[in-house]
Amino acid sequence: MTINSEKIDNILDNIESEIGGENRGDLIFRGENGSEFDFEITDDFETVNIYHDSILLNEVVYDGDDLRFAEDIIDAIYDFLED
Amino acid sequence: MSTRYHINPETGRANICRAQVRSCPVGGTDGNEAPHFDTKEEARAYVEKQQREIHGDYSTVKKTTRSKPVRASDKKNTVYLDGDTMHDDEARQRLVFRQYALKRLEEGVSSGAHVYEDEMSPEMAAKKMEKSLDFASSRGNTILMRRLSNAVMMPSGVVKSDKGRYDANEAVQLDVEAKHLADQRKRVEKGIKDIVAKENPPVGTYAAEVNGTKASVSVRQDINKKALAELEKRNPALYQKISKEGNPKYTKDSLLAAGFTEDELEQLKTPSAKYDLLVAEVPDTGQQQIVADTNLGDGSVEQRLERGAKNLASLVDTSYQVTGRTTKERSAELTKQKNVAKAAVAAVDTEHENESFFPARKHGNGGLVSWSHTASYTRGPVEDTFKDDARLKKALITERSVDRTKAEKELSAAQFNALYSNKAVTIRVTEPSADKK
Repeated sequence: MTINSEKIDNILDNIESEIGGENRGDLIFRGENGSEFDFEITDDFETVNIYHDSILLNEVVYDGDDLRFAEDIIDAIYDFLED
Repeated sequence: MSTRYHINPETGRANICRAQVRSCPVGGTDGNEAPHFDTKEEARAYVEKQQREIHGDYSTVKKTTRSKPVRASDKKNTVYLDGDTMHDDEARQRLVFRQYALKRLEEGVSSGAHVYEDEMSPEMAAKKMEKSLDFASSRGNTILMRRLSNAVMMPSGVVKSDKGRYDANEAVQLDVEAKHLADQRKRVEKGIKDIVAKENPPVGTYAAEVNGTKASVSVRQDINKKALAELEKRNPALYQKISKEGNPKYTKDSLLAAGFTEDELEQLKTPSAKYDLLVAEVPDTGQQQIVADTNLGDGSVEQRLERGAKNLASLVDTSYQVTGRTTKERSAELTKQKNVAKAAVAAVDTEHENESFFPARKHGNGGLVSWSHTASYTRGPVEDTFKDDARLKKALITERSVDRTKAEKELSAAQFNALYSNKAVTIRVTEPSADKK
C-alpha cells in the first residue's frame, strides 16, 4: 500500500473544490488565509508528512483506505485553513 | 417576505425580525407595533437618535477619524466617569462604551454550556475594558476602538466547556510565542529565498541538525511563467499535450460573467468566527533569547544554504529550550483554546453580529472574537444555493496546468529545461516530539 504524488494531488484538488484554497501543484497547497502546506512523501511511500508554513505539524499514514487517507489529510489541515 | 429589523428593548440592538405568522414579540406602546426598519443602518440610526434625545449628544462615538494618538497629558478637563458631568469627548465615548460593555456582560453569563471561572464584577469589567480602550486610543487605532466599542464583555477570560478550557492569559502567551518564532524564522528564510532567487543555486537539498531538530532547504526546478505563456501562444497543441485539466470550479468573476448579480452572490456569505488578540502589554516569553542568526556566512552558495538550514534548526531548538514547547504542541494547544473561545461566543451571539472580548489577567490584553461574513464559491454551496439555475453551466470553468510527467515525456531536454528554468525552494523543519528531546 503505497502513496504516490498523484493520489495526494487529487486529494488537494478535492480540498480546493470542496473547501477552498488553491492546489499550487508540486504538492503545495495554499489556504485562503495565505498559510501554505507542503506535503512530503516519506522514502517508504507509506506516510505523508505535512508541513505548515515550513514546520512539520502532522504525519498521515496510508493503510490502503483512500477515503480515510483523504479524511485524515483534511482533518490535519482543517483548523489551519479556518483561521 | 423581505427582511425587517426591530430594536431589542433589552439590549438596544438592531436585530432581524423573524416574526412572520404572529405579530412581532418585541411589541410596542399603546397597542401599536414597535417600529420596524428595512435596513439595519436605519434601525441603528433610530436607536442613536433616541439615545441622543435621552442622554444628549454623544455622536463623538461614531467619529473615528482621529489620527493623532491621545495621551493622558492631553486631557485638560476633569473627567467624572461615574457622574453626570463629562467635559471630555473621549470620556463620553468611554462612558458609552462602558455602559454597553456592562450590559453585554450580563447577556454573556446566560450561556449554560460554558462555565466561566473567576467571573468579574461589573466594576472590574469596566476597568479592563477601559484599559483596552486606552491601549487602542494611545495607538490612534480607531478601527480597534470601534471594534471594542461594539464588544460584548465576556463574564471572564477563562471559560470551560466539554471541548476544553480557554484561558485568555495563556492564549496571549502562546500566541506571542508563536508569532515571535514565526517572525524570527521568516528573517532566516528571507535570506535563503534571496539566495535562491538571485544566485541560481544547483538543484539539491541542503540540510542540518541541531539537538534532533532537523532543517532542510530543497532547491528544485520550477516553471518559468514567461516561457509557459510563450509556449501556450506559439504551440497550443503541444501545450494541450503537456497540460492537464483541473477541477471544474466557480469563481466570483465566472459567476458574475455568467449573469449573477452582486446581490445574488450575497446569498453565498456565511458567518464564521474569527479570533484575534489584543496585546497592550507584551508578556515576556523569552523573546530576548530566541533570536534568529541571519548571518549565512560568505562561502559558496551551497555552504550558505547549509548555514541557513543550520540557523533555522538552531532557532527552533532554542525556542523549545526556552519555552518548553515544540511548535506542534504550541500550535495544537492554541487551536484548541481558540475553538473553545469561538464556541463560547457562538453560544451567546447567535445572530453573529458582535465582537466579544475575553480579558486576560494583564489589563489591556485579551482575545477578541468577531464574525466575518465571507462568501464561498466552492461547488457545494454555490450549487445548493442556486439549484438548477441555468447560468451555473456557463459559470463553471476549468483551468489547465502543466503536468510535469507529461512535460518530461513530450518535450525535448532543451525545451523542458527552458520551461523549467526557474528555481523554487522548499524549506522544512522537523522537531522531535517533546518526549524525545
